Amino acid sequence: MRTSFGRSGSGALRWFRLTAVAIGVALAVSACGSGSGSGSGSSSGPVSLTFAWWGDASRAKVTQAAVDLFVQKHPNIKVSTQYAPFADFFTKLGTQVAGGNAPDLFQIDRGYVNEYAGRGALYDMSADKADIDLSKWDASFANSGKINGKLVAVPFAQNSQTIVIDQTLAQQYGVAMPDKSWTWDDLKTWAQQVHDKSGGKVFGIADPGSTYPAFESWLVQHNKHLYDDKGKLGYTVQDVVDFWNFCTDLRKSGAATTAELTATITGTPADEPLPKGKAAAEWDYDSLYTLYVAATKDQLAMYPLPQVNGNTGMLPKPAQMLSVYSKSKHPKEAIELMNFLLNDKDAANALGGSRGLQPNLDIRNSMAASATDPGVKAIYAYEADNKSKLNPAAVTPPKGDSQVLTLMQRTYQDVAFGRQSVQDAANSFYSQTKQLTGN
Amino acid sequence: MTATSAETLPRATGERAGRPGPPRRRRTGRAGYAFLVPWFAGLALFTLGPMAFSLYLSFTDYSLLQSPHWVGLTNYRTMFGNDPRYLHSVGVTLRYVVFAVPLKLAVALAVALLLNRRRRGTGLYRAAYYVPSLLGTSVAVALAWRMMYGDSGTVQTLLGKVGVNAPDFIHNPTWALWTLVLLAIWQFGAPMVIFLAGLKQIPADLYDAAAVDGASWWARFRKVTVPMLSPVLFFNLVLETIHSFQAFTPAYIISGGTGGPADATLFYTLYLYQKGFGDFQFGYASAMAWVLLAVVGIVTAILFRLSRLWVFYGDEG
Repeated sequence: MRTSFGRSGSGALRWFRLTAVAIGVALAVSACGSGSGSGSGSSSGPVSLTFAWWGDASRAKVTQAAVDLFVQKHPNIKVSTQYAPFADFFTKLGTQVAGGNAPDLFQIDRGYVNEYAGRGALYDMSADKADIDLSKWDASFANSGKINGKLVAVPFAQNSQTIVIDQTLAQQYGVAMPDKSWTWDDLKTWAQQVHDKSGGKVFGIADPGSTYPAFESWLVQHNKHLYDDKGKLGYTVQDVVDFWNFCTDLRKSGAATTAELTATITGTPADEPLPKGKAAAEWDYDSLYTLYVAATKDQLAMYPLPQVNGNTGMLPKPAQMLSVYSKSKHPKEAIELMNFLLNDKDAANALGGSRGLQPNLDIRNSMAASATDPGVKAIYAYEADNKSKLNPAAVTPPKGDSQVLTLMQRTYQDVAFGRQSVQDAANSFYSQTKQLTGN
Repeated sequence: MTATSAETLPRATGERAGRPGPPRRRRTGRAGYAFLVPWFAGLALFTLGPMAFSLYLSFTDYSLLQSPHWVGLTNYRTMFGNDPRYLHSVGVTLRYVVFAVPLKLAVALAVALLLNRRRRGTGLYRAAYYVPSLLGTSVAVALAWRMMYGDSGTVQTLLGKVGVNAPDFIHNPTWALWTLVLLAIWQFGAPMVIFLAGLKQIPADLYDAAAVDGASWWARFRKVTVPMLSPVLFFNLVLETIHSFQAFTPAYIISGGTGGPADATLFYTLYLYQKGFGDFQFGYASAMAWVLLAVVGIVTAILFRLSRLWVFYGDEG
């Protein structure tokens, strides 16, 4: 039998090499080609804007509603929108920036602001301050996107941290709800009760050991911080060890989820242990609360973080920020849209609680008073109740911080699956963090 | 390429022997190249150009947002000297290739042998068994896999019914890679179709002669089927090996892009992707792509060299 394949060995080999390289090429070429605004530079013709954010479908629905309101009021401006889950969003944004066709207006996470600003991708809004109404804002919060004197990002919403508790599950197993000024020991006892009374079917809490922001709060309540204002690390290996030892105790006694279940925590609330009824509590930002509510039928409640010497470790944070692309052809219109989303009452009502608290304090107060949606109401009530428990805001993290998030996830998995001791994993985490953040 | 044209050219001239020869042929050749221009342009623009550029980038610290700076061999040195995750991803990929390829080929051959018999409805079965491969590269199958083998998935539930306390295969580092191997095996359709075509070409008289000599089924398989099929087997082996080195989608989807749990499914290409698009280290990612290319090239060359020992082309005897 003859096959031309066998006869032309070297030719085929060459062909295979080309195929093999195709992957590299495909990666390089696959820069997504989304619309790069319209070509029209004139201000008289219609202006097309692109607006991108991260989130899920429920967030997309309300955001689109707010954008539609804007378009109604500005018939001259067209807005096309894009959204993706958190990790994919930044993959795409990075590629778009490299290709010079990023969206005119986009949501950005605080951990990335330094990275993008340092590379000149963010439009400096200092000169356009007249177009952004920050008069009804908390001044320091309004400036949290200021880098080296340049206003490159403005907070979209404010959030802080919480333990979400599944009340229905707790009731089902006859475990009383904890006191709101609880300590970590109280949490441990409570979580253990859930596990024991459910006969081991339900864990007390989703293991927070892989959650980087949980570690940040832990540091703050021990009077430390992730970074100082010069971007230097504000903690030692021992802090990582202490945090992980506590989590490991929880896990080993069944109070916290197994390594397998913890591995399902990847930032999509619907896939996580709490909405699936596998854990009765989970650490998260309150701005994600409505996403949890949408993912389960059970009754949920938000609890402040457990205290250490009366400190919850909770911090006010810009839940997301908004930036205008430095190469946008229509920065003025992009800022107009941004200002509408941030300071318009109707926009705020459309957005609801899908991102956290509205940054404009007037609007925030009126929403706290008038909100009817139970999820939105809960967030505003929670933030109002715990305002006095918040610590001062943290500094903008240095470049590289965005990678520490996944590093902690990965390294703690090694601990949880018993592949590394807490001490070894903490050492490895600490030295890699130093490397990533230029410490 | 060259081999084919060398074979076909004399025949073509033979047919046209009566017509005016050389000048016309030269003109035809020129026209041929003219028609090939779009293809060559595409090759240069979309394949060779980017390849050359990625080779250049592999010697830089290109970060996607910033212009590249020349760093010499730093990327290559980091890979082998100072990046345990890189070496880990190599290990994961090798394990995957070593298990997925032979198992997939074995299943493909077994199914091809079954479907090679003449029976009613064989065509339907052939189509049915090919379907997984049509879906194979798609995201949907990987998602389905994730649900089937995940927590409270079909597999865990079924095993639970027969009293086996099964883990969440997807989120367990001991099992996660094996679910990917299983997925690869399940997608045996493409090599199976090629095996089927190969089996059809084996002359029936060889089997008849063997049967007359009293050869058992096993003897016929070993002494007739395998040698006659060896070129096709070799073709499938090379193709599947290369595909497996480049596997990306299933690991990306099933691990949610992390390569987890605990880096158990961190395929080479997935790590490359993370480095490039997650950490914006495009220079490093390009260097990784070139090392992969070199390794795949070397492995393929070894397979070709070894093929001399076991691949039988009918006309050599």
